[in-house]
Amino acid sequence: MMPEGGPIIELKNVCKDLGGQRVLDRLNLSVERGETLVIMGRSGAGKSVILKHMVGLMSPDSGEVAFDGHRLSALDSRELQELRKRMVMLFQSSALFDSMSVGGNVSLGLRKHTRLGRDEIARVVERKLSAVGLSGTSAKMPAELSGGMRKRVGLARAISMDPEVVFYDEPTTGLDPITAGSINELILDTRNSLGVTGIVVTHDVASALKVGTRICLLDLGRIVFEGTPGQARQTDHPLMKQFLAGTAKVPGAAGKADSRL
Amino acid sequence: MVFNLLHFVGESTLASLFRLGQAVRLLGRVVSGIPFIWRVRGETVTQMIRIGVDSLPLVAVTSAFTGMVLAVQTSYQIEEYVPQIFIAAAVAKATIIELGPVITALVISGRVGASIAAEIGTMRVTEQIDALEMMAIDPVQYLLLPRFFAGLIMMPVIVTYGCLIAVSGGWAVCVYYLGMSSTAFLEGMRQFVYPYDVYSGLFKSLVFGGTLTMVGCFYGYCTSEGAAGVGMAATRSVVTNCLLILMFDYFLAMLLFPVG
Ligand SMILES: Nc1ncnc2c1ncn2[C@@H]1O[C@H](COP(=O)(O)OP(=O)(O)OP(=O)(O)O)[C@@H](O)[C@H]1O
Ligand SMILES: [Mg+2]
Repeated sequence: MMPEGGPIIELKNVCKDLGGQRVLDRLNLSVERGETLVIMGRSGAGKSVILKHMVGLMSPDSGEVAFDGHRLSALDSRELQELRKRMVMLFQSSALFDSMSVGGNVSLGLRKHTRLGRDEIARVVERKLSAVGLSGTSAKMPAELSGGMRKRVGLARAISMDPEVVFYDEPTTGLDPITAGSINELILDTRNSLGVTGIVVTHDVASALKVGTRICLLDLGRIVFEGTPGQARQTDHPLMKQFLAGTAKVPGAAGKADSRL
Repeated sequence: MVFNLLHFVGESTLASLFRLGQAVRLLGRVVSGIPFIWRVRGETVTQMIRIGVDSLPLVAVTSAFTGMVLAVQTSYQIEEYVPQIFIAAAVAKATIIELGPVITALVISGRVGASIAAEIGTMRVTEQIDALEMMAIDPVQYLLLPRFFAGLIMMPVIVTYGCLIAVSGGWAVCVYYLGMSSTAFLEGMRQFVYPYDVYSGLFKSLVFGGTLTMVGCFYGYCTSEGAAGVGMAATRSVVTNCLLILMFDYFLAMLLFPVG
């Protein structure tokens, strides 16, 4: 155990094969406390897989994942559960509980892990929902919501517990530019006011440059570029440049990625 | 050729054993949560209503016909050689120790077991189970335990209700179709149905209730591969339940009613 100091999350030489192909190939990546790390990469590059490794929903074929100095593979389910109380995840698919109302989704963590009263919980839920621009929807069922609304409920649910680390899997995908802007603000606020560490997976360049303190680019199972948003803007790295410019022509290394899609 | 066949047999046997091992381990995790059932009382009550109350109309119909057909066929089989009072005894006894629990369990496994598999399977493929884990909520305790426990508790209740209806159906046929008197019917039941029969029937129901919910939970929990996987989980849970219920029925009969 070595709490404080050192990176909060560390992936060392992580390899993972899924569906007969190598998705992560000796990947090394660490996340420092308080930073917002943006992970970019082509669709299918393995970004969601990285997040799932970081939180222990998937385990590596070889290599090591550590959270706050604890090797995830060495933990039993109870210890893992304790660690999970310090992190939350916004799923790419939102993963709302569809047997529960919006309010039920957002309040589940509070009901299970805190001793707050009914009224207090209702107030927190309303506050979190209004933070994502959905106040007054607490009685609706997930099936009645649009994709973008579901995403925002997922975000409200994720931040309902005041976590230490937040994993955002494509928080702004499928949102209009105005709503996306307010979600970016929310991510920034969460970090600035609460000192939360964030890991953001996104394809949205504007969002990446705005919320990220560090950007890394994943290709063929490895991190091929890493730097601040400023460095990313000025880099000569061909794939990073392409990402920022949104051009389709695929040079060199990334060409091979096509065969995997 | 022979080698290939052996290879295939060996491999599928290993795979089945592996699945069985997985299922037993999952059952262990579910059972170990029973002392803490109060933590999920709300969900448990919901499931009890869903498994129990919502199944009553279907069970009423299947049980009524079971009791009626038993009366008709028993009377046909024993013809005139046996006093009519034995028809009542045969109907009530067969219902309580055998047909009530088994037929109800088969009906409920189609209705409840499959829907549990589909529901949990959907939660698996839409990452809702991962989301629970991320919220530090154990999906086994939160999703599987209430369903399993509700099955254990509610099956004896449903079977009792089904048996009452089946015996009433048998009584109706005896009195209005076979011309027996109500007194004779009741006398037959009083003489030949023992409390032990009732307890055994309820014990069987308990086992079936645990089996059919656990099988649904297992296939649901292990679902992969999207919507097709969910459909497969539901189908497999029905097939496995039919087999297991009939097999367990045999072994329970050997255990509860030893001959000689
Ligand atoms: N459970 C799984 N079983 C089999 N293959 C998987 C599984 N999860 C992911 N994969 C494969 O791993 C690769 C990476 O998937 P991942 O979901 O991480 O992509 P991504 O980078 O998040 O893409 P996107 O931007 O489209 O979300 C894909 O090729 C996918 O087919
Ligand atoms: Mg993804």
